[in-house]
Amino acid sequence: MATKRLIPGLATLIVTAGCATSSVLPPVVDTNGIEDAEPAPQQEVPIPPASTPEARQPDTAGATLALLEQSERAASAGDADAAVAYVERAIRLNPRSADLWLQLARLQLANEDPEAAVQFANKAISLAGDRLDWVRDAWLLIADARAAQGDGDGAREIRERWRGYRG
Amino acid sequence: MAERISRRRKALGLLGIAVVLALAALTAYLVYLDRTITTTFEGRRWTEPAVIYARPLELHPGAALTTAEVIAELDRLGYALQPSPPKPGAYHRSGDELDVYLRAFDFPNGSRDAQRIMLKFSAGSLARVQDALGRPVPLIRLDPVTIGSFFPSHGEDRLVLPPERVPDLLRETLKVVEDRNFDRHAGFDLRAIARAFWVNVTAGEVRQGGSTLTQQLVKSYFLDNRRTIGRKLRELAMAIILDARFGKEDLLNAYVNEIYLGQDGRRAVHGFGLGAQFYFNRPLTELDIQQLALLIAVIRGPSYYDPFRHPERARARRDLVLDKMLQGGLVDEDQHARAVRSPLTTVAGTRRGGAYYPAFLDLVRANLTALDRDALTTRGLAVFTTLEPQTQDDLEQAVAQALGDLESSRGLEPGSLQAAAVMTATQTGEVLALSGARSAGSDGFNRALNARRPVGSLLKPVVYLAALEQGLHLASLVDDAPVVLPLAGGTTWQPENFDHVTHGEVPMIRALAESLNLATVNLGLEVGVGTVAARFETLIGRPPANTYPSLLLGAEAMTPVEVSALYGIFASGGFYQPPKAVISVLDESRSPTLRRPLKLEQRIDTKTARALDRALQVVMARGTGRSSRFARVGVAGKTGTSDDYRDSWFAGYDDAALTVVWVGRDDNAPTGMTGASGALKVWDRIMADRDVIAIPPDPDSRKVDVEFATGLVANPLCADVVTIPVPEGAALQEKPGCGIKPPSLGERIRNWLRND
Repeated sequence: MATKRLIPGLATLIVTAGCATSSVLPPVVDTNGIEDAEPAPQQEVPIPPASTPEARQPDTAGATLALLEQSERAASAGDADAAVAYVERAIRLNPRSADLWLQLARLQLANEDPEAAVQFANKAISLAGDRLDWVRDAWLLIADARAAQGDGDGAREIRERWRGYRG
Repeated sequence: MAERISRRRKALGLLGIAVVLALAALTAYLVYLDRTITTTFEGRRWTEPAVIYARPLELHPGAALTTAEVIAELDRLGYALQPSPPKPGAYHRSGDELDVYLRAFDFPNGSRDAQRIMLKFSAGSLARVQDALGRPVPLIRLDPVTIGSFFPSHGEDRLVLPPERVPDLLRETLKVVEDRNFDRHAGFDLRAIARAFWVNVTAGEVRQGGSTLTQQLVKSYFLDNRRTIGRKLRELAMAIILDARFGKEDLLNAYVNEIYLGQDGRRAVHGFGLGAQFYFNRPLTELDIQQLALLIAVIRGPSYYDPFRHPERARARRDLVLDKMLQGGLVDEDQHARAVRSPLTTVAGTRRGGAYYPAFLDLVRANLTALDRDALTTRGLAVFTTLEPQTQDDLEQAVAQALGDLESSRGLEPGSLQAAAVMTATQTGEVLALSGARSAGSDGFNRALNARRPVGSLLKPVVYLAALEQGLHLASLVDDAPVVLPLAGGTTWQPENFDHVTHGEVPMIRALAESLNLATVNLGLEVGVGTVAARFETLIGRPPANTYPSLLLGAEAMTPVEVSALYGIFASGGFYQPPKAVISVLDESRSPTLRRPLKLEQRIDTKTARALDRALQVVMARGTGRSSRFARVGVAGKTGTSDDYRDSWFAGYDDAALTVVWVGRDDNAPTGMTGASGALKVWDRIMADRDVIAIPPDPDSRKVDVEFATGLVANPLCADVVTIPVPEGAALQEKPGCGIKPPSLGERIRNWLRND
């Protein structure tokens, strides 16, 4: 169960791993004498978009894939802790990947820790952005966790909401 | 007469009884000695301190790593630069390629064998990783750097080696130099004692000891350092017992792990495993002949022959050991000549035996309260942590440098400022680097963990959070107008703005960005001080000590690590993760004994957290953080200043890392610095070492452009605007002459799906 959804996850991950955020060397702004709580000068310049061109842009797709495969092997060998540890390593390389947090949620659910699973699924939802399919997968996982916690109504309500959604 | 005989008989009888009793006592003593030392020695566990490892460097194609960065890490690990890599623990460089022979290492999820990898770099990143056969390697870790050990209070630190990791040359040289008849004697060596006696008498001073290796072992393992006849006899008896009970191999290996080889502050270096790390930053198996000879030379007097303080003396004795190696036929003429020509190759400074980061180790210890103290100091645990050595070194340097700059540019007394800094990964809460003092090597007061100082405006985001949760939004207006609150005892509390000016009705976004005190107090009173206090508690897990309105302006003392936990929630989209230093712990048989997996708990609804996150970005772009050189890159942060400029705070983050900085004085005297003029400068200096990564835009919320001064909806063509997220259905007023468009149907459906 934990690893069943892994493979489609991998595919999407490879597709999206290239579009993480990037950085830029900032201009040095000379603002001598500015103190706490001073009013800002009136500026006509709008705030630049929060995403900026590239400097050092790590590409983690291959490494992440390797770690997920190792995680999967560990999981099927019954070593749940190792399976989690591999996904955690992948998250360190790629901390804003909703898919990886979702994978962690799946492992926790398989580990019979539904509460932790719900938290990780929430994290995945918070990072999913436009990927409504991931949002749906995370919600369906929360539904499973709710069911495992004995909250059948909560689970049903979530599944009802997502019935018919096709990513 | 008869009386005399009977008296004599009585005396004889008494003597006989005394002799019998004495013999019985001696036998009993020997039996007792045998039993105690044999069982102690049999069941011996070297008190082996836990070894603490940093996070290993992950190598994969596409990693943002330069050749220099990987070489720096190899240096930390004591890898030798060689013409071509003949053995584990060495590397070879040709241009932008590195050929590294990795050592074997026991990681938490299995061991890695020693193996060769080829790294190719291009354009500031790692382009290719291959194995010895040229096959691509998707991901491989370097060994983790040792960053410390938890030795017990009496200071014995060691790295225990199994017999197979002890070079034969070491064993043989020990015998040749220290105990020629080791393989034959019964624990003591009469001929050696006689020879030593003769040498000492003719020389008129103690020049030679006749102790066997077994006796030296007994002395170090069981006895203290006094030189008395009784102790000498006890040592002899014990040596004979040990020799009778245990094999020579066993005894020699015990010796190798036990013997005292040097002192490093409070830390006593025991055994050749740690000795090799301490003097050469390298495993024992990788030492060359002259290095082994030096370790053996040091035995005779670790402080007298200290190669750092007395290099000539140490070198002379090393050469003597090399001569004995040659005489004993352990090395040939060639090897001997080369070894004698070599200078001492000891590695001095903080690097020896692995860099030690006492401030971070305090946090590691605090993370390991589940294990008893004893286990940490005696059982040879391996503790894997989150520390990034390069980041830590950079942070320490940046803090020291920035404080010096602040002192000189502000005319402060040099050395008067202190600081603490905590850097965590924004999405996991893992601590990447931590500095508890201005000079990080010092083992003193850890301000990052233990200094509780008023946080000033750092607390304001909690007030604005409570307001957002009550249905207000970032464009809602608050009144920046005078406040007078009665206090107990007939006095009043009358806060003021920093610039002593009131601004009237301002949008929340501006009030927070410019850190307006009066607007914040008015907002906090509207929300309720109790609500803010309760929210503080649900965020960081403890109630505020101050529940009066002055809480709203941050009259609440917190440690930098606590602040890091609080801002970690803002930086991660609402998820609480206590700053974490430990990932896992392996026991002496290298199986996992403790794991600290990632753990998080949503404490702010994502939408609200993102709104706050955006507001903290506006603080940088438009508000009190705008003097930062990174202000317009897309980072977030907040300044804080306590009363009379005693504490200067800044908490700021980019996409990757949150760094909390405190600057102040240990005597709590005013420094004259605000958060912006003090801690923010330190933060800037810290971030200058990093690839600053913009916080990605929040894709989910409805965003509008509002005029910064008024909160009226506007556009860049007709006003000075900031872009902020607002909730669906928020009542917004339009600036005359500007246009708004309602959210699209698709956007509304998405938002409905996302939230319950």
